Amino acid sequence: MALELIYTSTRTVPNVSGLLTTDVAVYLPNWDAVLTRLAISSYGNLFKVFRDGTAVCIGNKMNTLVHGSLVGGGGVALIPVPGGYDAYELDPIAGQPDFARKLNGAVLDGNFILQGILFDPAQGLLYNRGAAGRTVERRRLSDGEVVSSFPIETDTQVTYHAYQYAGVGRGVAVSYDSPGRVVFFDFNAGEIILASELGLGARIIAYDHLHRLVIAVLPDGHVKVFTSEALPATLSPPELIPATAGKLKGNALTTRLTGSRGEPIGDAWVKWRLAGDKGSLEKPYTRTDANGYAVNYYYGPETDLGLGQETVMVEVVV
Amino acid sequence: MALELIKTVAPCITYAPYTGGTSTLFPAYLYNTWLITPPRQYQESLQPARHFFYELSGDHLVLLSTENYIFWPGWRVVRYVWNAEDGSLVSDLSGAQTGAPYWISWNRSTETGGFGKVYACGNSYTYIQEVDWRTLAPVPGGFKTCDWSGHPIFLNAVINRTHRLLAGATSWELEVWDYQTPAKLGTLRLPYLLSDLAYENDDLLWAVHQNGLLSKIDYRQRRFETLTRIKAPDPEDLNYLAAFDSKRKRLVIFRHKPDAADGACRCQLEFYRPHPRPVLLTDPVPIAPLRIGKEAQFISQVIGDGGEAVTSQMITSSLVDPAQGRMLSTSASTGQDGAAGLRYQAPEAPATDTLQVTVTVPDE
Repeated sequence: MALELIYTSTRTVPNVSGLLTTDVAVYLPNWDAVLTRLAISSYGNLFKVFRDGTAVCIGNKMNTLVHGSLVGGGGVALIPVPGGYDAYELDPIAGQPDFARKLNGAVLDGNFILQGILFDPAQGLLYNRGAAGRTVERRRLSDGEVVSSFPIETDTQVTYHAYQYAGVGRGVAVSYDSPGRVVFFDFNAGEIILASELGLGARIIAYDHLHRLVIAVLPDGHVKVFTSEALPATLSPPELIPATAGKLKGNALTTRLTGSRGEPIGDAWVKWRLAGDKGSLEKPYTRTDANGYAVNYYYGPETDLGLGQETVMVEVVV
Repeated sequence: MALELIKTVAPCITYAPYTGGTSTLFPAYLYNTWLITPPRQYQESLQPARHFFYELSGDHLVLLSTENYIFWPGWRVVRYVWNAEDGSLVSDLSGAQTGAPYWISWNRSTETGGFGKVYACGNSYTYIQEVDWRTLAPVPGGFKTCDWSGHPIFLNAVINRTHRLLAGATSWELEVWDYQTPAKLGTLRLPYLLSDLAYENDDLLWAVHQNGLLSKIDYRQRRFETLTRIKAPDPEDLNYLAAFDSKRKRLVIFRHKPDAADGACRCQLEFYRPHPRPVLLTDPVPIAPLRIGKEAQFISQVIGDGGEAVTSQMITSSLVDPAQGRMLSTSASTGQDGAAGLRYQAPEAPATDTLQVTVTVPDE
């Protein structure tokens, strides 16, 4: 498991089983809760789901309506019209389409409309799932034409099912299939920021950009909450630079902390210690940078009595 | 904003028992004999109603409906008038109405509206007109919208005469029109099938839905103010109707429940104050990993019957003994999203603590 699980609800969301694989799950910041549809048996019923598993029915959605999310926070409803879809912001109270807030110009082509499109009205763009759910296509909101695209996955076995807002300049793509791949990307630069996974499959996954949490509703109804920082998986052996140490001379020591998919883990404390008593370390703890590197310095022994071999040991502080 | 149920009058209607009499016109016949098939024993049974409103001049709540009846012709129109203060039946204004049968079928629904008047939507015409609250007959020379307005035949509508607005509902949508031009100003998608509308003032209306959801809508701005729910809606309930008592600023719901096994009426009036009312406190959920010696924040939310946020509620927190960490904040007030953050300081060694949160709700 790469993203860190921090909470599993004791309450369970009712009637989660039987969901379609692609469905709505949008975090709405003014609710601090997730808008979603639950079971096929209650087709069309919309629910407000809280992080602790409390679920409240708030009405029904229009038949054939699909949902997306909005840059800056909020939800979008795509309503079928002749020739495609029109997109409207969701009303922040009722979670229904607000017909006064239309986002698109020309009718959006129904051939590319799927659940989980991220809308960016300030830039006049939308980011939708292209090429089997492994790329991000930037399209113009005015006419739906593709402006550019960038890949977010090379594994052809993986499909991402929904793109959501993940903070300033960021989107997140989630896959409902186990192990629940999650990719954070910069939608302006077209770069992947973090690729990780939940370690489980869930058909309702929403990203809480206010608290930077992934909220997943499992088929058994439990809600799991993950931080959006990857959990440390591997700490590389310390590397001495230059490789030969000298007396009282500080040699840089580096180690790199990564997650299960090789993603760098920043802002983590690394504990350093020597196995023996030859020489000393500058600091007992250092913090990893954005690329996952932690740096320390090793000083050789003061006298020739200390010459020989020394082992540097590193541990991650959790 | 949730709603606070302040009073229930149940039942609010008492049927007359069948005492063995016969119709004076057709003494040989009884109609709807199921009404008196044991264990049932009453000569009448209300049919789902559509005309329920607050009548300002008399400070009354009024219901007009048809009912199944044991005597010829097997149905009749009844009017029930309650004192809006306490829900007591005003008996001299209530009872069978011989002058109303035509108009109750002519009009589909009736609501209070602007200038304290009562207005009705037609069953087969698009205009909305002022009606006499006693019979639902059009008021001679009274208000009436344009015959050829271009809008659909609404199921329910409220009239704002100050701003010349008509807010009319179809099953799933609320359309707002300038009735003078006439021109459509906007549309709101409703969260569920509509059951009834109630005019509050020249800005606001209430919509009660068939599943018990309750929307407060600013129809001038075309936006929702609140989405909540009536208290304990029951799938067996037949109908919900709404009226807004503008004198006391409270909403009244007429809940049509199925008759009891013996045929007795179980309909009730529920008086709600539009006042924040917490119903549920969510479990505290951490929003950051718990780490030895570090501070962590937990969030709990206070919500109402419809899952709506309840603001300005004080959540208090404590650790169950024996506690090993400590709470850095023992209370916090809920914000616009109903959420409050509670800060916890983890101990310097692995430990298990139990966090307890409470919110105090005054009795209804």
